[in-house]
Amino acid sequence: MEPVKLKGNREGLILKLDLKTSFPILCENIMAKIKSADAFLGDNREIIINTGNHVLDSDQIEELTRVLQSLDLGIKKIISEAKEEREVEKPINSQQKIELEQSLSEGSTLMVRKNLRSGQSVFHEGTVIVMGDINPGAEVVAGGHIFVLGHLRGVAHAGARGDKDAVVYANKLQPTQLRIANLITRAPDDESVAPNEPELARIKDGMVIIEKYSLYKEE
Amino acid sequence: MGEVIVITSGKGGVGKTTTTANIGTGLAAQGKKVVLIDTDIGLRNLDVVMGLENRIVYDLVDVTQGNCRLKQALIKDKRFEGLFLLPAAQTKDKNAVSADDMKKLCEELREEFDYIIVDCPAGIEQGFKNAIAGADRAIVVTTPEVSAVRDADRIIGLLEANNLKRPKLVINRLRADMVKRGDMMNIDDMIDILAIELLGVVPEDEQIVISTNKGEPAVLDMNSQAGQAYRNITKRVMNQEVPLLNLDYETGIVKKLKRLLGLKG
Amino acid sequence: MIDFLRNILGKEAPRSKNIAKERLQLVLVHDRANISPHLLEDLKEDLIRVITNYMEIDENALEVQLNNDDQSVALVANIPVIKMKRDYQDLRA
Repeated sequence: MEPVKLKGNREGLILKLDLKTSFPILCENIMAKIKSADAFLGDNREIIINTGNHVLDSDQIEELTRVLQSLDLGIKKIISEAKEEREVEKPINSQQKIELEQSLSEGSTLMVRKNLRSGQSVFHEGTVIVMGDINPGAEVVAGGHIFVLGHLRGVAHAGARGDKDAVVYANKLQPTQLRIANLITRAPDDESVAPNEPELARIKDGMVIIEKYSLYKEE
Repeated sequence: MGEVIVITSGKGGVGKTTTTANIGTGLAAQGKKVVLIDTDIGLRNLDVVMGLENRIVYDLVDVTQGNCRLKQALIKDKRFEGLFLLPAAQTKDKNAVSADDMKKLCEELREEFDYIIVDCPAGIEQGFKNAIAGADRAIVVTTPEVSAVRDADRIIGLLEANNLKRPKLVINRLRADMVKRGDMMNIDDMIDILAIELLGVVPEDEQIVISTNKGEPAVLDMNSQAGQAYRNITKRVMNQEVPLLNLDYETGIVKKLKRLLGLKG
Repeated sequence: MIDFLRNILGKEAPRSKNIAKERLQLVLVHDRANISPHLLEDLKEDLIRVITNYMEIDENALEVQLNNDDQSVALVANIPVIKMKRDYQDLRA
């Protein structure tokens, strides 16, 4: 397939990118494509980026923004198509991007020293440690692990970039929903017993399992 | 072709979300294909009332921003085949959804569902205007309090100005004992003031609190008065004629006593 | 004794729901016409100013109110006239 495709629909012009191509080559292809289709673009200087099944990281978004700016173009939005239902592959939208940039550089650990309440969310490329509770309606999405030194009642997504070795630890692990890499789990409908000791969730044999932290240490 | 019904109130806390959940579930129980949309971005609640909060992956904003397909964001109810929920976003900017987005969304859902029930945010700001943008008809929820009735009147005016003519009224949390004493406005008082058609009356019923705790709409509870009221309302939404529930709490002894004193009971 | 019984049987004089209804009806007249009592006061003063150019009126007895029907709102003014101003014609000249 062509690395770069340009097409239009009701919403505007869409630039479809194949991220199997290396990123610098992709950028060159974008330049060539836009230049050849400049008449087609006309006054419409805001385009939509479609990244197929892939997700751009913040560096790539920055680079892409720069390339398009040199062509006098802006990004309307970035979309991606998740492969199938119930599989998480949320693209980074601009709002999330800002939060990522505000946090520390990739791979580092972010300390959150407060309780996260409904409506609050934390996005971070690396590992997140929350010294407090994550309440229902709050959300932590991390590229790495998530450690909650408190009560996890909201949503936690560890290994959000696809890292299946990521774990979620909580002193009280009672999440609304738990996601690791592309797997999603939730508590059974009829179960609401509060755990009485720290637990850890991880992927084992393609499934998310939750075990007592004391047992995990011994393993 | 499905029908889009928006549930509004103006004042918060009068039972919009409970009404949405119960009418939606009631319609699904009658074998209809129903989707419930929570448009209260940043303060979502319909998911918890329906007991579906732990199934949410994508939300309304994800759909309008193209982060996922509409089908992916629809959460299937755990009780009924034909019932779905499109949850509001909790962590995103509340201006992420426009009136045009809502219109487009409703048009798309109309193709596949018999009823699209839109739960509106409280207030009369942009969120309200967006929520009603794609609607064919409106239901106004009020309680028998001056503040709620006043806000309902304001909302009715705004609905009519936005071409949602002849909205219908649901009176929630009526206490028959207080009405009898003359310490709560009765149905006629409110209809008289608001001058709109009555869709139904739901009595104050502690069963509502219990069912909300459990995440199971009261309309499915065959033993509660509120459940019966919601079943009747559901039927009226489907344009069937159902007589008003008799909310007479008076005991036999009081009636006898009144007759004895020559006061007609 | 009968009064007491009437009392517990809920048949006595105006109860709080009537108060609620009356207050609501009043407040809605203003809501629907989108006019605040304050604005009505301003209007009254302006009316007085204009009318006194032509005739003497009893300012204290002047009544201005919005009347609400099912479909429409009407401004009703009750203005007692004391006498016409003699110099009315001079004003036109």
